[in-house]
Amino acid sequence: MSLSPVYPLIVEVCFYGIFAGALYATMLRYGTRVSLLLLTGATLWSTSIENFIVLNGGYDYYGYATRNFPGYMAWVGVVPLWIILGWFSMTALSYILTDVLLPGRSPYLRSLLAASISLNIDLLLDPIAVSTGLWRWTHPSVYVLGVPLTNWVGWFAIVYFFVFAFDTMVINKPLTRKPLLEIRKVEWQKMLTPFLKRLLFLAPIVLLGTLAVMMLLAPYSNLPGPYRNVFPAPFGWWS
Amino acid sequence: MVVLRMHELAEKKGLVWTSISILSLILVLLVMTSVSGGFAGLSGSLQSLAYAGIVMVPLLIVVILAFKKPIDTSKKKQRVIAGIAVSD
Repeated sequence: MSLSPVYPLIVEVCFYGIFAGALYATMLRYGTRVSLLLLTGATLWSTSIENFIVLNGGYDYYGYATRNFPGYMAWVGVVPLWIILGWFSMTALSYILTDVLLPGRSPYLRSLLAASISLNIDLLLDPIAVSTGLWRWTHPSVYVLGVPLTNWVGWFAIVYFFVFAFDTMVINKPLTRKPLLEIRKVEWQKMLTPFLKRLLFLAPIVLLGTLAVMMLLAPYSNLPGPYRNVFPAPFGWWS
Repeated sequence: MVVLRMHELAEKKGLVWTSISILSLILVLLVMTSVSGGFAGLSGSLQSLAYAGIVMVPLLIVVILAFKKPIDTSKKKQRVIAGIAVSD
């Protein structure tokens, strides 16, 4: 169902507000430098993965697009900016809650809890988005409440591996044994490179894993095509 | 030298703002649910709102648990000391 064209704009503005709150909370807890590390990593991570999947025909954000207006105010490639910032917000908020509840525990366990909290939020966000046309799923899969199971698996994996990289390369690195609020610029630069390297190493695992799940579920699809991808899948096996 | 990884006040304020952001998100999601006209596979707004309410319960529990958890600085000190000892 498509609502008034104002609806996606209101949602966009609301999510900018939530982003501001999440960023502020992160800055209070970890300081400006570490928050910027988290923001930089999360932005690069979500921008590349989201754009990759949209360009491969997995879903799109053009439910409210007209000839003159793409539906949302700000975009990063083929993904609205509020999606990228919203992803940061959910990951950062989930991570802070995890850090409070499981201090000093194994990064595997902490990543598991953070990913579960994020998935919990997405269990509501995705059915809403589908029913109001904020985004449209365009690939064969087993659909529950209008959302493909691939999404739940992918969402969990994306948050899990990102939090794992952040937890192991930033929060629990020897360099940060000094108070996080007192990290200086030179240390920030030293922390950014290994963090981004680990993300670069983990991204193919997430993408290939999600693609494997997509291929496993495709034969059991309960949503018949055609899928009308704005960007036809390059591999062409579901377009 | 023993250092605390976080200042207690920053930790508390960060948690308060985390909760404010999450509660704002929940509020926005509930409003979005009510205007959605119902999710695919569920009949009507009422069922969708019931689903939304049920799904948000675990999240609220996590937020409440985070608030109830006391800030144990002695554990942090031990962790930092242990970390330095290992790295040395």
